Amino acid sequence: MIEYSLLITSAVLVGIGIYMASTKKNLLKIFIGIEILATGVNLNFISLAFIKYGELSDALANSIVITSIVIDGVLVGVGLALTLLVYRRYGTLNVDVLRKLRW
Amino acid sequence: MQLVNPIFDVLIISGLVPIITTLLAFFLKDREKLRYLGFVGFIGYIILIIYILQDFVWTNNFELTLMDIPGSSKLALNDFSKFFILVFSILALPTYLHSINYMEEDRNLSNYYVLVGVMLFGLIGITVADDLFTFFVFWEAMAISSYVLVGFRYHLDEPLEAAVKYIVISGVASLILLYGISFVYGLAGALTIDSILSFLGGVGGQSIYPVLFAASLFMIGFGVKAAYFPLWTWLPDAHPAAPSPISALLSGIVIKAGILGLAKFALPFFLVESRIFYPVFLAITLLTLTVANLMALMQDDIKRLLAYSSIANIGFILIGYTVAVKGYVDIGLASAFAHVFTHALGKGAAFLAVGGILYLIHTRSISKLEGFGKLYPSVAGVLMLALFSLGGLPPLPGFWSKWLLIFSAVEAGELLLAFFGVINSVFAVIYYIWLFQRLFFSEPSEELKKSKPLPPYLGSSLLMIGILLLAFGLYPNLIYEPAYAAASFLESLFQTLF
Repeated sequence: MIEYSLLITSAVLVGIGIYMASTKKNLLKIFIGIEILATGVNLNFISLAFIKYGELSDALANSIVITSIVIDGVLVGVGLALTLLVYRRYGTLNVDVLRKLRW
Repeated sequence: MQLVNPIFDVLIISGLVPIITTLLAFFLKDREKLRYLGFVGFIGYIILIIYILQDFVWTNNFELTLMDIPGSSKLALNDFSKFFILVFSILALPTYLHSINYMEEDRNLSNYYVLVGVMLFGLIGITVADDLFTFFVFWEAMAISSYVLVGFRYHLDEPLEAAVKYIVISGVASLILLYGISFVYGLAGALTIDSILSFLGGVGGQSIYPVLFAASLFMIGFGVKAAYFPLWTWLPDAHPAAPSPISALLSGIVIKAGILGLAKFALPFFLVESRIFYPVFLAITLLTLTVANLMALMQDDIKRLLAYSSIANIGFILIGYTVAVKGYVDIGLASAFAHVFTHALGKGAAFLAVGGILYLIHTRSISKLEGFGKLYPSVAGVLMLALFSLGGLPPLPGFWSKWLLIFSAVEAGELLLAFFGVINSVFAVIYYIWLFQRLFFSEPSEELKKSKPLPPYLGSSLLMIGILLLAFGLYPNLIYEPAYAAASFLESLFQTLF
């Protein structure tokens, strides 16, 4: 039963991440949502390795997760740099100020 | 000749471009010289094209396993990847030339050329990756550098907002793609295309929910990059906001990365579940074509018009995919790939010509550009050549690929798709001719007349892509034969699924 609880946990994390990224107004919260989404995806890899092979250390899953953590770091780093630029320019983190384009 | 191994050579040549750019940037301090960094990429991609076209590489297929972990990491240089490498590098050449003049006023020029190099390296890597893990790494290299390039002029409002929107939507989409990859890993136990195909061959045409779920996640993940119907909201903002050479790359080849991933990794799933995905593809194709064309008609901003026309052309490419999902894999994919090539050329040329307009006259509003064609017939001429190719007038390349798409739809018995294809093609020609009439047959206004001469590198990039358009239009077999080779390669790969 433990494997399905792992899958459900990661699905819940992915759900929370997508919900935060699509509904939150604060840019920082949006990027926190993306990080939660990434964590859920990584957990999914590990839990599927556990289901498939019965151990938590499948080499392929581990290498993907480590690579994915690095990539998420870069993604969120670029996102936070943009957030900083938005804050310097508009003095707020609310995405509603970004109204020049039609969202 | 080869250095190490053809697969590594391709990666080394395109990977050396950003590295040499970085090293040279240390020695070139003043801006006047920094702009010539564009030549590094120009020369690099000429070498890549010559390398790919030499007999030994062009006629053979290569495979290479990277790590000891079974089924984890594999590279392949086959007919499919060679076709896409050719498309990507051909558009890279005029873009690099164009950048030398277009970006000369910008800050951080060395960063610009390094980022373009990394983006193109990611695209070349996507074509040779034969498993989803390697594919995802190159995919993110391409995606993250494109976020930065969209927001490159961050001191302006529009690029900053567009970049924020792009990174949020596209970042979530790549993670959804990774979520799909994780289910594929759970199902097949490995990520190479061979193990995916042998797993799907064992499913035996039965509907199982995990396969369906993974396929839907792929459809969302690749769909945001490829920008089809409900997922294209970021494109009309991000593509116009980027500097024009980057718009040409984004609209010409970066959205084709989604199309490539869809063909190579997601199509097996769609073929297995074709009962469910065939109507989905049909609906998406019709909606993408029609809605995007209607939106394009309402734009005054010329770059937004081109961005919507990109979405409409993705709809055309999806006609081929719908035919392929129905079971006619080789004719569907061959015509879709031919359109990938001609759209990359046509949209690249259009955005580069608009870049020329922006360089000469700082406005994107069509109503202010009336009569532009009388002042600069060469720039407006290349723009019209590109637009007529996109609209599908003979003898330009766009005509041949649209004809092939409609022919393949008729061949597969998809009369509805063929009908919508023809209607939308005519529709697109109407707004291109309307644009043509406003650019060439109106009197130029007073403020338009204060003008400067066309700079040399920008002019030669326009000349180059104009010649390419005419050449591929007169010899359409040069497009169709590699496209057909790529499609039949994939068909023989997917043969086990039928």
